[in-house]
Amino acid sequence: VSQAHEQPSPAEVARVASEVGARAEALRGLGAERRAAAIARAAAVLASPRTALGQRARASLPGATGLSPAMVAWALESSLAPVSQRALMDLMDAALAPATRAITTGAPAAPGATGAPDSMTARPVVPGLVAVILAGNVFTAGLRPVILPLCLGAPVVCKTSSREQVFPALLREALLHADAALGPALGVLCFGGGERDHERALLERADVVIVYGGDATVQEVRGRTPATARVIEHGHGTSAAYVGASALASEERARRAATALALDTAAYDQRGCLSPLVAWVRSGQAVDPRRFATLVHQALDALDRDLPRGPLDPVLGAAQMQWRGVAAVQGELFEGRGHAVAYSETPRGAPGPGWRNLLVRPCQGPAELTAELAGDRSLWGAHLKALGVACDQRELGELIRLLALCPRLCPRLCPLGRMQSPPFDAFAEGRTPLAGLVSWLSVEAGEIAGAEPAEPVT
Amino acid sequence: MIHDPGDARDALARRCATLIQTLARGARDDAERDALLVDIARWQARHIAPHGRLVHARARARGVDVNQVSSPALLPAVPTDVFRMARVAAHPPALDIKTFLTSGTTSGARGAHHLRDLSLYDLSAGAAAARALFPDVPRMTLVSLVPPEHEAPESSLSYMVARFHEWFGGQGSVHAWHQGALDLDRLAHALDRAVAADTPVALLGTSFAFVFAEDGLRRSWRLPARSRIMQTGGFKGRSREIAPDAMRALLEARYGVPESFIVAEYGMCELSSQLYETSLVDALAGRAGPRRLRAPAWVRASIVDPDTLTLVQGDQVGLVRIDDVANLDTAWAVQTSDLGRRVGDGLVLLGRAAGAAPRGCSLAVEEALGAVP
Repeated sequence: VSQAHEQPSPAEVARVASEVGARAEALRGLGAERRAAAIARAAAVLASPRTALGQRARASLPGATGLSPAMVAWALESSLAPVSQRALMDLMDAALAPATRAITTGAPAAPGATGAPDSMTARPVVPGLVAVILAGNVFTAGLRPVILPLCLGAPVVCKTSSREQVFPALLREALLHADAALGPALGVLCFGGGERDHERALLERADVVIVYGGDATVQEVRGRTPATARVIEHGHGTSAAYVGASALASEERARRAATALALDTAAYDQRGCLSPLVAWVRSGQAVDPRRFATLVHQALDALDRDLPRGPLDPVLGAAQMQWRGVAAVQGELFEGRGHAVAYSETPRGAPGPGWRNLLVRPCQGPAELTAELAGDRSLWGAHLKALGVACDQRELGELIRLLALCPRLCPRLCPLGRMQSPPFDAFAEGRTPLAGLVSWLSVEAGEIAGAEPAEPVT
Repeated sequence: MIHDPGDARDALARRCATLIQTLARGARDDAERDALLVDIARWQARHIAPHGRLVHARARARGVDVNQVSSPALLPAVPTDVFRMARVAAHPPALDIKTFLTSGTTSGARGAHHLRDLSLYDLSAGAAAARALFPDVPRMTLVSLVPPEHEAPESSLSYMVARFHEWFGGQGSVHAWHQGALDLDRLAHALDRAVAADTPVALLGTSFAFVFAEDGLRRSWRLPARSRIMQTGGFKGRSREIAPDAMRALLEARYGVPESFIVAEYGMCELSSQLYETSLVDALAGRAGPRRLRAPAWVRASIVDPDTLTLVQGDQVGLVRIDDVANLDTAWAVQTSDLGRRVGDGLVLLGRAAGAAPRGCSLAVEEALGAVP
């Protein structure tokens, strides 16, 4: 298997894809329990600061990702620690259990055959090879698309971002250490995004393609993938937060919500699609939205000591400078070390460029929030990946009811403070965790004229 | 904002004009310039809302009191995007006598620089060009490849070049531009006449205009000695892009003007003063030095850290900030998105940090990182 550090030739990409794909039968032969156990062991090794591999990850990822060492450690632990054998098995059991259910057939197909009702059994079919194309903004985003197919028994070839090749390579190494029979079912490659020959060599051998990136990248990959393969798309995404009445009923409650929102904002330096760019804060409560903005600012200041932001690239610094300047002129700007919170009552207030620059806006409640999210399709709409909330059940119920009326809005709703650490077995972008990975062989049972009654196939 | 009856403003205007006139004669007095900049900053913070808000935000974040500071570097500059979002002027719209607009952006909003008085602009532009572009001649034939003023009344470049025609233009000066397009026949004719008469010319144009000319012209010239070229602006997606070194080589080959007589100008719609490369001045003085932009003495050009916006040390890469005494009524300090670094007594530009449109962090990050030079 090619190492990620050298650009392979198209022939080498083809060879790697073929070799990894050839592991499918052996991988399935390991059994789900052994696969899940190996993956859990690999995750634990990487998550731990005491193992050699965990230490290497902590040493090499800050340089590769631009995140601070403390942020890397937080990301490793928060994303890998939940990956247990039990959790993986529960997910597999729930998702892959053969299903039998009644179906309604139409008129008898032949004289003498019986009609409805009848039954159908479905068996899961696992892909022979999954190709994963990663973006480089959040390094742990590569975890889920790699471990879920492997746990299913599908080999994976992962094309890393040219900016961040370290984590997938470390994950492969951890898997090899955990189970020498499972590790080779993951191939890690790095080649340029526009390299058509390289890409073709990979895509035409894959049954499923999982692609992360901007909308244009996703669209291009979809267009170049053979029609016989399925594409699971993770395009451009944004996230937001909502702070409702109950979280603003007292200074203490507001401070708790602000601390949670600060963590969501600081995590991965606000580079990912699960990072909140805007927090809508309900007006007319004991703690008003402007005061809440200052609390988030204070919480981000405090967080900077434990989870400092990584260095800022000059190009992004320019974007930050422009955004902060406009924010200060249009509303109020609360700047701190490595972050800024803008408070704006004007609808023209634009979200920041990431890197811990948060916009706080007042709102009247779930109805206004939903209208804002549904109304700006270029920024939110289908791009909305997560909505972190701090409110009581009544307000949450109202929010859910309103969101369900918007066909394009299908975010993951979660408590503030958990936006950046989604469970690896959670829904993502409105899809179940294994959606698109598994296809189903369905067998309809029924009497066939002139034959013995058929037993359902299981 | 506090209403200014005009006395304080007029007193500052007189100080600005005196300083520019004094320093234009070749003196340097950075202390006097900085003191004036701080006084303008205090006045603008009281009379221009965006300044007031920026100063307030800076005071809150870093404890900087505009009434206590002695160095302009400690006070915030106005980011160029603010000119797209808010009116930056101490005077009401009724007093505008000129509004310069930035070129269009992908978002469609254009920055606006509202001026109630062009005297400081004229004084500064004239003095800077006299020192950097025309130090050896009072007048010469100008051939400009920019839209004439009547075709682009909102363009600060067209305004400036029009003034250059008045102040420095000799016989035969022409605009090689007609009805929204570069007029290559007129350009070729002007160059032929200059060669025939052995009269040096100054070609003034934008980078993309020179590229259009390069693509359209079928002939080359060897312009008379002491001919020169002023090249300004980027390409802004209007033509193919050419690296500065390659661009100068093309211009030298096409017009027969040596590279030392090719001078880049750095100006912005939001400023009233311009920076020029030192190549021509150095060549005329027989000096060899690195090609660099040098600010006139009444302008404070600095490189700031993109994150903290404080001055960087040494030749570190950062963002270009321009403090301009001639921007009395609008923004005494403008923070650009241009990347640069200090070289000797000047600076070099390293390109513009592509503005990350606020369309969600993941996309912005992808695009912005992809744009790192």
